[in-house]
Amino acid sequence: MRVDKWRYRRNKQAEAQAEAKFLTVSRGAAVIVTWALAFLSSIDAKGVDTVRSAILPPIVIGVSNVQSGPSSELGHELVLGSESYFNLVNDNGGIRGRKLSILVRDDKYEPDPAVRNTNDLIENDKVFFLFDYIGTPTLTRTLPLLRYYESDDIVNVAPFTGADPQRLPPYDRFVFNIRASYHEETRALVRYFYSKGYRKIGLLTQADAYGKSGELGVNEALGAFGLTAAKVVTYRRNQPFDTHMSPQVKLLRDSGVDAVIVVGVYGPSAAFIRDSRLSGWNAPIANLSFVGATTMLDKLLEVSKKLGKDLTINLINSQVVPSPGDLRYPLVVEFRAHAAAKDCTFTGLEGWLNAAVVTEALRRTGPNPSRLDFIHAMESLHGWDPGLGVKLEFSSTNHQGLHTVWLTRTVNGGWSPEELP
Amino acid sequence: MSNISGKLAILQLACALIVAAVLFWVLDKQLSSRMQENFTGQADVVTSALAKSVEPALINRDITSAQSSLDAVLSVPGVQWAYIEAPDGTVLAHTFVPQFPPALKTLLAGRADRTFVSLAGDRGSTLVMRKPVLTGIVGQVYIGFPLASLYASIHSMERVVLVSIILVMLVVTLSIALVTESIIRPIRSLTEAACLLSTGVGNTFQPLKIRSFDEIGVLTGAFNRMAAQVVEQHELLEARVKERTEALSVTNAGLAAEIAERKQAQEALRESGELVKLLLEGAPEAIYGIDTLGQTTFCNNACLKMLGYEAASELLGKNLHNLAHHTKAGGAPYPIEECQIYQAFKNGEDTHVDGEILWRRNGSSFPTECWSRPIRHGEAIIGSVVTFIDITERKLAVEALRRAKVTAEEASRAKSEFLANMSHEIRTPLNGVIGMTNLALETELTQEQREYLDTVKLSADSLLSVINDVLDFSKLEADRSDLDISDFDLRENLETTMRTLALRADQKGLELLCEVAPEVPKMVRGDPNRLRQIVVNLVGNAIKFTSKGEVAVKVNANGTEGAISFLQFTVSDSGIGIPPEKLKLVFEPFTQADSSTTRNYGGTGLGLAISTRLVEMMGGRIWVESQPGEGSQFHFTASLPPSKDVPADTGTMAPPEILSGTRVLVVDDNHTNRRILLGLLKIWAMRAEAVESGELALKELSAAEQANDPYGLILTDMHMPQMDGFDLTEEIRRRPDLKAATIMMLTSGGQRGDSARCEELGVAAYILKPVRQSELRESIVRALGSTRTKGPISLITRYSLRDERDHGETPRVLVAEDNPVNQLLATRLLEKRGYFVRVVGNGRLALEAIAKDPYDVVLMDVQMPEMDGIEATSALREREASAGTHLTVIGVTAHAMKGDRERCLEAGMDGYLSKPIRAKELDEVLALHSAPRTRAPAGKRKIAVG
Repeated sequence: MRVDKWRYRRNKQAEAQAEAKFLTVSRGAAVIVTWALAFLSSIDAKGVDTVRSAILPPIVIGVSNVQSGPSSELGHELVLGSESYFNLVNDNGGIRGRKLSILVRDDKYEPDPAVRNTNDLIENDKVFFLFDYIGTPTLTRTLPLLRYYESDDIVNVAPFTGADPQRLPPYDRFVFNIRASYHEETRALVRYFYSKGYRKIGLLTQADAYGKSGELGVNEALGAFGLTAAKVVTYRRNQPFDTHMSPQVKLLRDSGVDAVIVVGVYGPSAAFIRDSRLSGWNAPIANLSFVGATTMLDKLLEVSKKLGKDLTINLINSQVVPSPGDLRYPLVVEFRAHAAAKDCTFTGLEGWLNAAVVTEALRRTGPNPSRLDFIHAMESLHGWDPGLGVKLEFSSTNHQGLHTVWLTRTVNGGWSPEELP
Repeated sequence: MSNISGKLAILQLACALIVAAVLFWVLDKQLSSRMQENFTGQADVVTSALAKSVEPALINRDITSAQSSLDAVLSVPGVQWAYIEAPDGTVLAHTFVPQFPPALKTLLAGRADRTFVSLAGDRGSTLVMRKPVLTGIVGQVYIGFPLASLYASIHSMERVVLVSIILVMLVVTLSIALVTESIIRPIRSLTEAACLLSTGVGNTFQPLKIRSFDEIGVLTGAFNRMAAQVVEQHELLEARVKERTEALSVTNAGLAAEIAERKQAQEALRESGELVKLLLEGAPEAIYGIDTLGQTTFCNNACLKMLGYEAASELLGKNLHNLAHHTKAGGAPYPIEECQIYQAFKNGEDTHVDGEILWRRNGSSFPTECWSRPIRHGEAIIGSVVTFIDITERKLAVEALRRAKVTAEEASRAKSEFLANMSHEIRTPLNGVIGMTNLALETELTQEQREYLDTVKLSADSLLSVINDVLDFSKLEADRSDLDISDFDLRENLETTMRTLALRADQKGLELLCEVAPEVPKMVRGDPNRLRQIVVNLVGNAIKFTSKGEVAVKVNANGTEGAISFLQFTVSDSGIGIPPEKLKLVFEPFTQADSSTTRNYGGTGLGLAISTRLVEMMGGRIWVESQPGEGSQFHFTASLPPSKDVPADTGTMAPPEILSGTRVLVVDDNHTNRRILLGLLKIWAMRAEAVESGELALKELSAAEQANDPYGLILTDMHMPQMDGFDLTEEIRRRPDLKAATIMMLTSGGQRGDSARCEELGVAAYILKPVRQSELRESIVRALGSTRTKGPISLITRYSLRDERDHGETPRVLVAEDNPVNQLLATRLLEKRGYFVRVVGNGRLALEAIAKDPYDVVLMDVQMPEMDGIEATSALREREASAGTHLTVIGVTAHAMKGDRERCLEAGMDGYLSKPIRAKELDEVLALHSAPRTRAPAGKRKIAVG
């Protein structure tokens, strides 16, 4: 059975990629409905199911995240990862004949559009659940809406943020967090730095809820060792890569910190690293998973090449999924089998993981499931391994799926797994 | 630029600057303080809102959500930063980049909830608002509002205010400058004209235009008069020069004779040459003699003097032509062969040269008149004697005369054109005055205000009529008026004209008569309006200057001169007459027979001047015959040929069968009237007799009865001495032998109740004088007809209409009008006249009202909301088309434009009034249009029932 499936996927891989490309191109229209390509497969053994699936309405999943602006790569990668997985499911006849389609709206990584999009997705588009949201400032603002629509049983699944508000009352029951929290990420980073002997840890945070969330996490972790952040500096959200970060570099360097944790996004993070390294400061700099590690590294490599100076030394990144190159994990193997090499990013892998988890939940519902059925199914994902060697821990009282953090560090211009201390 | 305007400009500029500065200062102060208040108010609200929104997060110790709220506040315009402070003073969350400014806390320590700080690196200071969260138990929020944005908006406001003020000031200054310039310009042109006049270039003086009637206008007028006097003086001078010149030529003639004599004496004086010489030397004219060779043989002192020589020896023996006559006036050489002076002895004839020039010794020249006469010795010509005089003076005089004439003609034309233009300029605002006064009179006014406005109206009306006269006259003077020739019915024209005048005559108790001779063609070709203008003027004057008696108009054919047919019009009155010495003057403009009459009777005195011009334009002439105290007869002739297209018709219409042969008795104390009526009745082949009193009428009637040829119709005047029309009728009715006769009453002014009395007495009709020919005929036909059919028929005039409602049948008028003031006005006017009035607000309501109740007349406002008058009338007419009825609709419109009337009539309206509704016009229209209804009451009932 597994072998059959594998062979089938190999046959359809080219088509899936073409479809993914098409979707990437047409994503500008903000609305993307994905249909299975089942009709094309004349050799499909499940032909009967396929025909029926064409008649049943698809399950529409609502997405609002950043599709334009300086941080848009995050949104593109995440959605591409999820879509690839859903395409795979749809190619196999969907779930009980129903296809999965995702409807993407662009919030530009700004709170107000995020709120409007969420309302539209619930009110107008009648999506089954919300999915793949990105960012703390955006998601935090949409949380009250979920409470507002409480009677509709609408939930937000797998937001791409490790912040606290959706993990704490009163909003934790409306959100299913798959990835580990920023607390867990920062704790891992702090412990890593501590074990390496660094004591004066500085922080560069995005001047918003995401940054604050990270800062709180770092301080909490440092608190366990009786320390606090030696220096906290900030930057404004949605800055492009060519922003000057020299003031922040100078402030941190002058305060005598020996390691830096950045709570940011790839553009400004890369800019900070660039300006640090160019100023001759080579202290280790750590980023959180949210940064979009692959894109950040790409940008730094580009500049390194241009300047003839390696800017990528001594970088650490915490991740909530394994490295997309780490083939020890079945999920990574599966993902790599269905994604183009350039799309094999941490974020893409997270999208794939998110899709795998909700698909499993949907499989566990009966025919014609209600939203409540879906919530119950999500809460039943307890002890199920999505292919990462760890088990999900969802239950009716716990909406935090995973707690695992992976560390990576730069080796020769690429991310290598780094052992946790 | 004149000095005055310069000074004014500086003054204006200064004022404008001061006003602008003050205005700016006040506005700036007010607006900026208002903006500052707004700014702080807004800051307060924002901070309070933030404090509220972070409260639950802080209670939950959810700093991330609190940060999220801070983040949201940054998007509020004017907010630069915000932070949350824990009760212990630590900063929980903030929005600073790259870090929380360390100095801020020290700066804010101990400050009030609202304070201003200046952070290093910030431009200007920042308003910091502090609000406690949950009374400060969980923390405090701070928001920084940089004042830079406030200042920026204040500055942009200041810029806008400044630019607006400058623009307004610019416009005001410019307009003042323009107005000032318009005041100064006439003063300047006056000054220039005065300079021109004083430096003697005044010969070509043109009167200055009077642009306003203020002091400058008066000054200009005075200046023009003064200049005119100067010119007049100049002309006087010319006249004198001319006189002199004539005298001079007489002298010349005498001289010529003298010379002849002298010539004869020459023989005798030959021996006594000395004596001759003395004589010649003494002559004032220049005299010289030439021999056959052309050499000077003699010259006298005057000759030497004129030619500028000292001694005779300088000329003697020389050829004078070469010395003094060598070049023509134009500069061309004058060959001696052409010289007239030398022809004298060559041909042996006298020659006379006038206007050639002679040259003085010093090279200057002068115009001259020259006589040359051959000297004969027996048969042989031995030379010639030449006499010449200097005519420089005369030449100058002639030239000046010619120039003066041109100037005078130009001045006259300019004056007339100026008048024509001016009258227009005055009429326009005056129309405004009259219109607005009329409108004002229709509003609620106190008695005093009404009296004032009535006076304004009266004054404006008379001013307008004066101006109309002046305009008309000046147009005629300026040759800007043409006749508008068309074919028209002369009698019709005259009758309608007389009708408009009848009221005025009646008010003075005058008889107004009109008689057109039968041979006068019915349709003539001419300008009916101009003819009417003349008749109105002459008859109007006659009425004005006559206190009792009659005013009669007579038209006779005055034969033809070549192809032109002339009609002679005579307007005679029994008024004060005109003294013989003034008879000519009355036709001069701005003149009345006596300046005292002007005061008594008013008027511009232009009427007759205008009439004179018009008559001249019609190819006729106007004259007057009058004796003081015995009335006047104004005659005029006009070329009014019979219309070519219309067959010549003497105005007699085919008499209806019923009229021919009927005996009619005319009873009227006025001779002219009797004659007119008899003339008309005879045209219709009626057998008419006339008597001059009631007593005679009774006698005549009895006689006819006895002769068994009774009168079928009696036409009696109402006002007669001793026995009036009513007495006569009563008397006739009382006598059984005379009862059968049909009686018609003629009156020049109806009194209330007259028609009731007529009806009571069985009078068949009563007609207002002057009677239209057609109307009289129709009335007689009806009166006689009704007698035969034994049914009563009353002829209706506008007066009898009023009487009718005394008989219990109140005419019902529906007023459709949306404006409450106009509703009130119409209601008042109509109720005053005894109508039953109902008012509705629009066309739809009008239609409803018409369907519900019967009405006799609808006054329909053209412009109304919902459904306008045009639409309503069209709908009504459509409805009536099926019912076969017709309700009189009179349109009322605010703008008396030309097309309005057409629009009203097109919609099916019967008449048309323009707002403001004037009582007089309302009367006329109602009289005209309510008549058919009473004539056909049966039809009306149909509407009432159906």
